[in-house]
Amino acid sequence: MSDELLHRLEEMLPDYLFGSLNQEDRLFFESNIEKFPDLKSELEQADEVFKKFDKMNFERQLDYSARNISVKVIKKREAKAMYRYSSMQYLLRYLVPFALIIGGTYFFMFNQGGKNETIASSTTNKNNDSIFSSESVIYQLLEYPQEISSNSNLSNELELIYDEEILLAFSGQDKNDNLDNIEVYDSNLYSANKVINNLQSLDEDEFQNFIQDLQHANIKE
Amino acid sequence: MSTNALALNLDFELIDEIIESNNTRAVNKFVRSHQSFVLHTALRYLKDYEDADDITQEVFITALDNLRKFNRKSSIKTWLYKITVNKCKNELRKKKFISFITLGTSSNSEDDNYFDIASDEPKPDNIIEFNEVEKIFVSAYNKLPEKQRETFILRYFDDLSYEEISRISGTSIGGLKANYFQAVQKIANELKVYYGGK
Repeated sequence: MSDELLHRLEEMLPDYLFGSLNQEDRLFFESNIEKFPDLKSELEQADEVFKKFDKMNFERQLDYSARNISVKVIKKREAKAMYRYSSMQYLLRYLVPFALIIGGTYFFMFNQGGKNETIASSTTNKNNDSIFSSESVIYQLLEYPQEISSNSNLSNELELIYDEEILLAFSGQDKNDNLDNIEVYDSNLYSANKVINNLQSLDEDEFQNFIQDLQHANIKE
Repeated sequence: MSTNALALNLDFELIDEIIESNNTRAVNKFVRSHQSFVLHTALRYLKDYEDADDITQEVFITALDNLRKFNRKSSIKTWLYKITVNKCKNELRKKKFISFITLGTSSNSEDDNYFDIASDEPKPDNIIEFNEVEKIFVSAYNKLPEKQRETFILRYFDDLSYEEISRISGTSIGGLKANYFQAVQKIANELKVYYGGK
């Protein structure tokens, strides 16, 4: 019992010394400490030396050394927030446009490739001889204006390509073999340009119809 | 309501205010009310003012960024203590690794005096200037075994309850009381020797 009590009082001693015991424990401690003179003497000596130590001053020193921490923490947090913001800015300013350029280029190339492939394959599907490429259509239009314009199988789109002036010019070229070469050349060039311009003015459906008709008209080179 | 419960309640109100508005005034108040505790704990582990100051700032930045994760089952001091100890241990591990890489040129050793109080080199403004008794006191509790030192500081300086210290250190309350008694006994003996020689 005595050892147990001593052990209990020892455990209570520091809190009693520094005034941390509740009233009940304090009264228990005070009423029993007299039974252990060695412990009581130890308590008195500890009380004496700890009283000389100025805990308040010690803590003030710590508080003083820590006084700027709150300011530093607030500044660091602000800097961190700014860094996050500037990272976002950086992302928006450089990475996003870069990604858009890369994406756009990829899309453009992919899309163009697809288009080319479609045109090529559609051309191949329509005509295994591959004469109905854009170049061959223009070639045929310029080379055989009379045959094409007089072909009854061809649709009305022809009127949009060959106007009277062009046909006259082409036929004039045939009839005026003796004219000056330069004049013939100019007339031919002018007509060819007009044909190409007219061809370009066709919309996609008209152009497709025309190509199909031209294919079926069976114009020989 | 007890003083502790009141303090806990005020802490929680402050935390709510920070979470809701991230108000600088509330952040300032929160840091100010715990900065000495965190700095003291960091100093105890790192034994270097500059390092402890840096770690203290990191502790508060981590804590403020993670306030929503604080479950409020313990006091904010307990939570801050755990963050501080983790960061200090990481820092010490890092230093050990660096000193291993640089073939042991690190100046920190277990025998270094707390706060570098024996150094005669010029110190920055913030370095703590203790008087003679305080130096003896610091030296005395630095000589204590780790468990006793931790218990003594958390109980004597930081006013943590045995329950809180037990949660932090994993030591039973009975063990903590025994540690505290032995720590007080040893420090009292050191101070007695000092005063006896006067």
